[in-house]
Parts: sequence; structure tokens; C-alpha cells
Amino acid sequence: MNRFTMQRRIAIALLSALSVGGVLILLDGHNPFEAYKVLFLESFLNYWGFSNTLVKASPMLLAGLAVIIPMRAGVFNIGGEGQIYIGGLFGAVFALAIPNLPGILGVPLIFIAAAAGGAFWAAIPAYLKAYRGTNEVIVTLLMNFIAIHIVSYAVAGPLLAEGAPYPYSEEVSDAYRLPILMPQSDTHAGFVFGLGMTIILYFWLRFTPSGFQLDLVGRNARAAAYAGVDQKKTIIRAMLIGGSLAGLAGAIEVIGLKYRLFHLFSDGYGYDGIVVAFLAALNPIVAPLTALFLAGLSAGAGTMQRAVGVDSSVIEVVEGLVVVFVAAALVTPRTTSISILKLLAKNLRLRRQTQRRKKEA
Amino acid sequence: MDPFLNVTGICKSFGAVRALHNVNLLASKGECIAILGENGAGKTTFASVLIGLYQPDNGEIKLGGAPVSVSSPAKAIEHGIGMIHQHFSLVGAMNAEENILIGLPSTKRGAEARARIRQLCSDFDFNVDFDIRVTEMPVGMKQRVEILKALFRDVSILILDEPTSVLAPTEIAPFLKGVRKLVANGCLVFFISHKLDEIREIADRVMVMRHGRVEGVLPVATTPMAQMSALMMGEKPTSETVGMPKAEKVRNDTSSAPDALVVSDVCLIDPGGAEILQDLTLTVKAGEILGIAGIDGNGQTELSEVITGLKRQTSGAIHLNGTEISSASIASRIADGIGFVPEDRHAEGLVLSLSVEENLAFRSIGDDRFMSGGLISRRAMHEIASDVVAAFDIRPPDPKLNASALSGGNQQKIVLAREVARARNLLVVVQPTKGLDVGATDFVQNQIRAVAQSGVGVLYISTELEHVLDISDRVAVMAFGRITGVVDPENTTLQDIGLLMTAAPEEVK
Repeated sequence: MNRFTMQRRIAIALLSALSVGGVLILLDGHNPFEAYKVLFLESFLNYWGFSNTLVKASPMLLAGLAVIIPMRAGVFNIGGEGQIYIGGLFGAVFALAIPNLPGILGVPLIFIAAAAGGAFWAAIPAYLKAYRGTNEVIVTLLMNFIAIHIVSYAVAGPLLAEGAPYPYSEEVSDAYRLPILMPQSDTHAGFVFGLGMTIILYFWLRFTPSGFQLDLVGRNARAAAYAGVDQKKTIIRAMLIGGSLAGLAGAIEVIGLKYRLFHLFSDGYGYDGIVVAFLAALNPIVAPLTALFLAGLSAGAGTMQRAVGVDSSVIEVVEGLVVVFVAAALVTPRTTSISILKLLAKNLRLRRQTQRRKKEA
Repeated sequence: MDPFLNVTGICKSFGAVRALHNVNLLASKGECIAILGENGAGKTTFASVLIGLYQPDNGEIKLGGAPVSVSSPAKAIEHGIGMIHQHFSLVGAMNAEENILIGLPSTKRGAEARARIRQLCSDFDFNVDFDIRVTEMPVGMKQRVEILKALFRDVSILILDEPTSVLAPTEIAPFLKGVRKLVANGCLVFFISHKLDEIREIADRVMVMRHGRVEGVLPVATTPMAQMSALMMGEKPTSETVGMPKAEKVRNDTSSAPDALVVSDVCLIDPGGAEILQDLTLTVKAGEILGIAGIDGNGQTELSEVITGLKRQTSGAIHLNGTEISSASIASRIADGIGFVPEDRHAEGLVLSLSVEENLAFRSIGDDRFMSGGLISRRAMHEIASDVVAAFDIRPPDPKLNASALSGGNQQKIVLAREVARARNLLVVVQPTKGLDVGATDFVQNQIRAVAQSGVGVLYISTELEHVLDISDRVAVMAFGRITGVVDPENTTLQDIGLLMTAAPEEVK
């Protein structure tokens, strides 16, 4: 399937998801057009709502890129969530250990530490995939749980802030906090940072031999080998980049939004990244749009409930429908696509689990 | 008395292609019949009809005098007809017993069944280790498990498709001994092969096929190999030369040219122990087209991969223009000016989801001509592609179109154009005319000739003999991973080539 048909299919899938969601809103006794209008206005045209959308879209965008790059090399990284956690941990540990650098030096170093953490977490499944033939889907997925628990241990033990009522670390120093873009709001520079990454990656894939060859491996591994591309190294490279990007998502959550390392600080953004990536048809330049779309859905859901009376869980259903329809749109006779369908369906369940655990905690 | 198996008038067409044409055969129990033929002669189609994979368009199969309809492989087993394919259908994680009993109702899988398996094993002297899983077995043992699986289901007709091609040399003799036992026990065995020496050793009669027809069913003992080979190649066993008039054809005198490619004593042994290439030696001179003829699956593809670096030889050396490249990477061989048109253009030669211009560039994307200021120049890529599309008449003439949108002939032109541009020192082409119509074939052949005329050595590997003979300055014949002979295409007979292809060298001289 070429990228054009892919994009068309995805557009149809989105419309289908919104239509089925509209029918549900109708069954709930409300006007779906009114509901969607409010949702859109609140998420994108309201100052506070848009701020909220941007805050959510920032980690989603980086997590989406963390899926896109490995997938372009034919490797399915569903370990974004774990890489976010380890990236956040590395970034926070660096920020807390060396608190007195000026921001201009400290923030880039925190980003480097977080990227290294995410890359380290991705290197393990990458090595197993490239040199041992182990299925990366299973390894990355299971490593998510390990990562979440490592962070829980860290913030409940060695990093626990004094007198904290909840497992979290001390605050990072003021110098390390990302600038706020929209006054009075939480909107930090994370999304702009993600946009920068998007442009770099887009140009890298399109205009450099190494990016072009990475793409080649994902499109046709045998042809790539025939062109002299080292497949193993390419897989490792793609996963290291993916892990770094997810690690950066972890860092912006820590130094952009919460200023501390929290227990269960990522709200399933690693899994949202999978949806962002496939909605964007694996094209980095489209990922900011799809991240905004997905973030807007969840940011506007609460307001929609208050304004129109539609239960906000309808939006969760719409998010689920998006996953299902997009997955269906991507199904080709190739078995890999069928596994994509299964995985995206699983993604929903995992996000629920994370949310439930957060509530329990 | 009626013969045990009576096949009359079997015809089978796929579209316009006649795969089987009026095939007749009488066979009795306790007989081993070899089926001999070139690629596409109809050997496997005939076997597939017997085991119910294909339904014949016409004709009748009688077993023990009664007409039977073999509508599926399951039906075939009911009638006692089994086949061992080249690629085994065993479950790797299971042991021999589990594989043999697979799919049977649990009532038939008890101790009695197990005892019977051991009995069969000792009856036929089969060495099978029942304690290990199939993945741990050598190829020969897997094959014996497959045969046991068929025997356990009481087959009286067993079809073996090129059974020895997967075996290591040491496994072949015990295997043939096992087959002889089967025959002695009253089994009717079909032995599909193109190895004349094995046919001579194992078979009672040989059924020679060509273009879907049976050319003859002959007793092996009294038929000279030369006659079998001639029937297979479709030529009367005389010494008339191939000698097509080649007045218009320009042959290069390359006898004094330097060696472009020297392959010396190259061996390739696959993980199963089979010798894919055995002490293979050949030389291609600059400006010369060396053709490699042979029946499919005799190591030609692997030879091309060893030369271009996709596979690493087990031993032996490869020199390009006098420099050793035996362990050079694929990328460095590309940089050394080796062009390679691989056998499978869809799976290997092209990336179908990329555009024509990207396909023309992807094997040498880091080249100066595609780069500007350290970055890929999409404009240069487009301009180069536009020129190539015009020069090679690639249709539709739009370099931005996905390669998947083009016809097979035009796709082949993309691969060829790219590799011809690459080939400064050597061009390796495998099956370049596969699936192409006459016009596209001519075009491809002319391009390859032009490359040779510019002083590049060409290794032309194909199973389409007439194309090889037509284009080559010299023809090396390959069989079982060896070069069995090198001939001058203008002074040789198809019969000689046929004998070389089936590796019966003692009768060639």
C-alpha cells in the first residue's frame, strides 16, 4: 500500500469513527454536531482548552515520532511508555543530582540524559531483535511494566521527597523548568521542541543517505540488503532514535509540567504515540497534526460534558473507535498488518489499566 | 489383468499455457518410475494431478481397474496416494511420532500406533531418532519422517519430488536404499528428478516429459543416457550442432582481454550440510558474456549471490580485476562497479512502494551524482531518472510513479538501467528475461550486449537455454553446484548440454 492510499484510508477511518461516535451521542439524546462543535471549540479555540490540548499533545507527538522512526525500519516499538518512564527517571536524576547549573546548560544536559535513558531502554529489545531474532513487540511491551515499576520504586524509595504524601521526588530547580508559552497556563515549550524534532526527522528521512536507507529496510528488507544496507545496524539505529525521542517525552513531562518525578507520571502517552504514528501514516511531518487531534479529543471531553451534557466517556469510545478504524484501514494481506490490528486493540486495554492503577494509587 | 495405475489422456491448462497434454501412463506395483524433464516440462503438475492438488481438464485415472476421482490431497491419501514435497510439511516443535500421528483421531494414536511406527521403521531400515524434535533433526531424517508419515497412512503410490536435492551427499545413498526397499515391498514409487545417475541407479523405467507431453516411457536399463537427455531437450540424438545462423551477431574476440572476474574453488555449504556450490571455478574476461546454463536450483542463484556479496562462501576466493574481494561487503562491491540484476525483481531488485526515480537511485544513493552539499538532491534524482526513462523507453514515462504501477517488462528495465549504469567492471544478471514478452526480451538482451561491447565482463545466468546460447560468447553448464563443462555455443549440440546439465560427464567425451 503506498502512502497516498494509506492517507486516504486513514481519513476515511477517522470520519467513520466520528460518525459512529455521533450515532452514540444521538442515542444518548444529544445533537452530535453540537457536541463535536463544542469539543472542537473548547479544545482548539478556547485559550485554556487549547493550552490543555498543547500540554497533552507534547508528549504524544514525541511518543508518536518514537513509533514512526522504528516502524519506518520495519520495527514495531510499542515500548514508548517504558522509554518515557526511564527517560523521565534519567532526566530527573540528573536534574536533582546537579541542581546548580544555569538553565541554558542544564536543560540540554537533562534532555541528553533523558534521551540516553530512553535509548538505553530501547537498546535491549533492539539488540535482541537484530542479533537474536526475538520479537520486538513482546520485549518492548513487557519492558514497559518493568520501567513503570522501576520509577515507582525510585520515587517511593531513594528519590522520595521529604514529607511527601504521595510517591514523588523533590522539585527540580527553577532554572531547569521549560519556559511557559501561554501566560497563566501550563503550556510549556515542549510542543515547539517536538515540532523541531519533527522537522529534523522529516529532513533526515528524505534528504540523507542514512535516513533513506533506514526507510528502505522497512519497505523491503531484501532490497535493502541487496543495496548493501546493514539491516542489523539499521534496526539498532532506528530503535535508539525511537527510544531517545520517547525519553525526551519523559523529560518534558518532568521539567515542563510537573517539575518533579511522579509515580505513574505518564498517562499512557507511549500507547497514544502508536495511534499518533499510524494516524500520520508514519509520516513525521503529519504527526504534529495527529497528536493535536488526539490531544484535543481528550482535552475537550470534560468541557463537552459540562456544556452539552454528553458523558465524557463517549469521547473515550470515540478514541477507541479511532484506534479500531485506523487499524482496520491499515490491514493488508500481510500478516504484520494483522498483528498491528491486534496490537492497537490491546493498546486500549493497556491505557485503561494504567488509568485504573493511577486511580487506585 | 488391468495394471495397478492407469492414467489416460490427462490434460491440464493454466490459461493459455498447456501444462499437461494428453498424458498416458500404465504402471504396476513394485515399480519405480522416474519422471525426467526440464523446468516447466510438467513433472510437478503431473504429480499434483495424481495427488488431487489440481483437477485435470480431461482424462481419467484408474486404480486397480476402477476409475477414481482424486478431488483433494485427503482423497488421494484415502486412495493410497502420497507425495513428499521438496519442502517438508512437518511441525518443528514436535517429535517424529507426533508428526506422523498428526491429524488422526485419538483412538488411532495409542500404543498400538506407536508400535506400528517402530515396526515400519525397522522394516525399512529407517534410522529415526524418536527422542528429539524435528527441528533438531538433520534433513535426511526429516525426510524419513515424511516418508513414514505416508507409509503409516498405507500409501501404495508414493511420489518423491526431487528428493535428493535437499540431502547432504552422505545422506543420498542410504536414502536410495530406503526407496528400493519400498519398491521391493510393493510400493509404486514416482521419482521426480533430473539427475540421470540417480535415475539410473534407482528407477525401473523413466518417463521423459517435455512441454507438458510424455516424450517416452523407457526402460532405464537398456536406454543410453544420451537418449534420455536428447528426449528431454527435444532433439534427435544426432550430432547436428545448435548452429543458429548468427551472421548478424557480433562476437567479441576477448581471448586477449584481461580477466574481469575470477572465481576460484568456491564452496558453499548450507546449514543443513548440503553442498550448494562445490569447488566452483570460472573466469569472465573483460568484454565477454559468459553464460551459465543449467536446470533451476543447481546453485546458480547462490553463485550470483556469492559474487555480489549477498552470501558468503564457505571457502574459495573471488577476484575482480585482479583484486581479491572474497570478504568485501556488498556496499564495497557496489562501489567497485559490480552491477547485479537479481533473479527476483519484485522481492529484491525493486522497492515497489517507492517511485521509479527512487528505484533508479536506491542502490547507490550515496553516489555523488545523487548528492549535493552532503544531502540527497531530489532534483538530480529526478533529472537522472527522466533521462533514463527516455533512454530505456520506460512506460508510462513518469519518474514519480510508484514502481508497482508498471508492467513486468518496464520494471525489469528499471532494474537493468540502474545496474548497467553501476556496472563499470562486472555485470551479473540472473534470469533477466523471466516473464518478459518477445519485445522486452530483445530489448534486455541488446542492452546486455551493449554493456559487454563497452568492455565490461558479463555473467549471464539463466535457465532459458536458447537465450543463453543466443547471447553468450562462452557457455558454462552448471549442475549440482559445479561447472560440469564449458562449451562454445556455436559448436555444441543440445544433447551435449543436456548431458552436462544432468551431470553425466562420463558419456560426454
